[in-house]
Amino acid sequence: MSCRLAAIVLAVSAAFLAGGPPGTRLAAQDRGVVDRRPPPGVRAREARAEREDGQTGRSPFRLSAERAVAFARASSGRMNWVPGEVLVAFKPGVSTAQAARALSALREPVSPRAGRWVGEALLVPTPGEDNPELAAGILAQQPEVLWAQPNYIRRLHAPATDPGYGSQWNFTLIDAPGAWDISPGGTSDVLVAVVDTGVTEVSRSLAFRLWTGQRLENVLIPYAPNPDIAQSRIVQGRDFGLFDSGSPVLDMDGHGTHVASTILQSTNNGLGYAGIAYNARLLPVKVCLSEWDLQMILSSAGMPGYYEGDGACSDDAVLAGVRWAADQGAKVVNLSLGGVGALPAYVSALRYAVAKGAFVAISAGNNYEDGNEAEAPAMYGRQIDGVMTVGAVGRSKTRAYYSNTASGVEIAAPGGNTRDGGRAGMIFQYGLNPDDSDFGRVSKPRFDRYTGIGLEGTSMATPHVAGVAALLYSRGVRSPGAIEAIIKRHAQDLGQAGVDDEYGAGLIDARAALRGLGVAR
Amino acid sequence: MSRRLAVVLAAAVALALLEAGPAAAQEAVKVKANRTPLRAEPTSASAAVTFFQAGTTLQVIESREGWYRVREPKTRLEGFIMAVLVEPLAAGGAVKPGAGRQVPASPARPKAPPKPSIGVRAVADVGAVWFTASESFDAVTGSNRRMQYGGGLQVVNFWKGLFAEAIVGRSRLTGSRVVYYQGTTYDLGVPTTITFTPVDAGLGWRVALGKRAHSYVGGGVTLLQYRETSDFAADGENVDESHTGYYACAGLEYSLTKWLHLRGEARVTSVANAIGQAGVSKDFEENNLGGLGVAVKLAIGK
Repeated sequence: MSCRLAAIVLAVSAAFLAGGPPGTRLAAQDRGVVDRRPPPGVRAREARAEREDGQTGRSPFRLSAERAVAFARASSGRMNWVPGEVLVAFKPGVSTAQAARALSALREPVSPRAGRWVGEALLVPTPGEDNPELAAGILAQQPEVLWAQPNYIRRLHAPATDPGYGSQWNFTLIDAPGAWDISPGGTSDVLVAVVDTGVTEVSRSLAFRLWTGQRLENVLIPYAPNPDIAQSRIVQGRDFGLFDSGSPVLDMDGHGTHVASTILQSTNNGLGYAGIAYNARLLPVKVCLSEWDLQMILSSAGMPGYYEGDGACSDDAVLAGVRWAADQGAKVVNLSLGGVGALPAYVSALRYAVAKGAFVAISAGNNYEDGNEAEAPAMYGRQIDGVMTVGAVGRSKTRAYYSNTASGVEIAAPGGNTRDGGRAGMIFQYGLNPDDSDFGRVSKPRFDRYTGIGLEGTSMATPHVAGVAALLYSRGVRSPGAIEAIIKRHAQDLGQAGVDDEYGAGLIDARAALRGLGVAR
Repeated sequence: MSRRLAVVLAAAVALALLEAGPAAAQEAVKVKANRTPLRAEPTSASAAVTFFQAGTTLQVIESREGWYRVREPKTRLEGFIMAVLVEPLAAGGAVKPGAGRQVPASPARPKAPPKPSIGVRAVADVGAVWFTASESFDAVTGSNRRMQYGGGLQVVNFWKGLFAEAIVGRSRLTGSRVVYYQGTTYDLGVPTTITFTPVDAGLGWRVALGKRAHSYVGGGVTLLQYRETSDFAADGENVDESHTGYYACAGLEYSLTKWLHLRGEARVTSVANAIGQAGVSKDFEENNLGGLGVAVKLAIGK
């Protein structure tokens, strides 16, 4: 058996290596000028971005073990950034030599070639300075530098809870049935990108080396797509988190699957739960790593023990994922993630997506009772027509206890609230069975079984907006700005009259938005 | 818009009244006393051209501030005579001096035309109305006008050129609900039906242009029933409202026979503040359900 497993590991590794991209060099550097404008330079940089830092070609993972450890350190230390990394943007016209000069200001100078482009920003390691806030501060003072920030870690906006079935009160609250009368599930020409922990797109067993409590073992882990999302509607996605390019997207958390299910889970098929735009196509984009993702990286590197920390999404992966989704023709992008700390690169990434015709829904954050600081990328929603920041309400149409009010909420949607109806107050979808992969309790997880899952968070509210946006796109509203305007105009005003920080324009009303306007009313 | 309409209406009515002048009767007067002077100018200081005997009949050409300009029919002699020195030749023939009114000369008092009898007509009309809220209706229905069909009653000749009418019309348009954003209208494909049911009641003034033709102007009140219904509407989301406005019209009437009359009419209707609170009319800042229309009317009756 062990020989078989080893063979599978080798086969999988070989497949990943074969599918990996060639080591594309930085086109802008070849020209000797650091071009901060997006295309065509960005395209070249993103091609290079397919290779992760320090990859030698031996590991199938996009993330190095060192970086996984950094994630663990950040997570266990409740740090909001990846230690030893900064994102830096240079002023227009700055040459590679000038960029190198700026980077030489660090305690241990690094070459621009050691970095990796993410949009207009260069992700550079700072080996001599573990604290990226200090490193970013040094770089920000250099005349060649436009801005420099730590590579912040964003977190998913939904704590997992016990599985269980419940009624989807949330769809009634936004009158999704009324919207389905007008547009039954939308149309398949709408491509919805879920930029998240991924949504498993293949049915396959893969062998990974895992720490099973006492030793490292080769473990065969089965994966399967959500049976309640027709596979014909899943477009091949991209993994910006775990694996190098060409590998299938695998969700080893369940968050991305839950979010995607709210948007477009198959409906009226006698299985599981309903989704809003249930004819739309799904583009899974993995930018967030679960504990299992990080555990696999560490175990594959031969490190014994369990990963100690939470899952995380680094800015570089999120930025790349948003741009890539827009390039693939996604017309709706769901970002159910965020974290404190501003990052201007989000503005350009979001504008890039909108310019490509993609509407973007972003969760406001779940930290209302934990400081209620503004989070990125949600804080940029109000700046950009076609990007909406989403807050959460419970069954009684009042703000959920966790829903951030400082990020610039523009619209409210059901996100679940266990303080408003208990477990029945959560958002239920057909998702990965959490009992199969309960980190810390299960040593050999599986990700091929699905069940009804209840979650709460602004992560759960956001896909309601994305789903309605997909329906609107199906009805011919092809402008992200117009989609935002319609959703706001037809919202049910809650809280203070008019726009407020708790609910934005109010609770999204799917039917009213789809019905539009007559002459008089 | 209402001010423009008022000006148009006033001008039209004034024109009709002015045109009505020639209908006044021709006048003749009789000299009261002997040796009544006929003067060259309308002043006592003017030299007397001749003197008339009591009972002499004179034709009034013009009246001017207490004076008549008259003509002696036999000699064709003309001049001015003080109004107080003459009297009407017969009852109803007197001329009040000082109005400056032109009195056509005629050798004898004309025979009064027969007073027309009151006529009642049934009217059918068909026409088109170009919306004042053109952008709103164009967005939803794809057209900035509506066809209107209707019918009603007219009463003519109940006092000089005055006529009254009451017409009920109906228009029906179909389209689909939309959204408007930064200059672009997005059709959401939700079927919508719009109906107009205006009831116009008003007065007008007809002026004869010949034996068979009349021009006319008019105006009145319009009571508009406006309905806008669409699929997938919840309770209270469809529109069924009544609004009041006014209209002014002008046109030409041609009598095909004694009983059959054809009218061509231009009409301005204003129903202000009927829309514009919601819907795309709010986006376009349009609030009037009226418009500028043309219609052809066929009237049957005297």
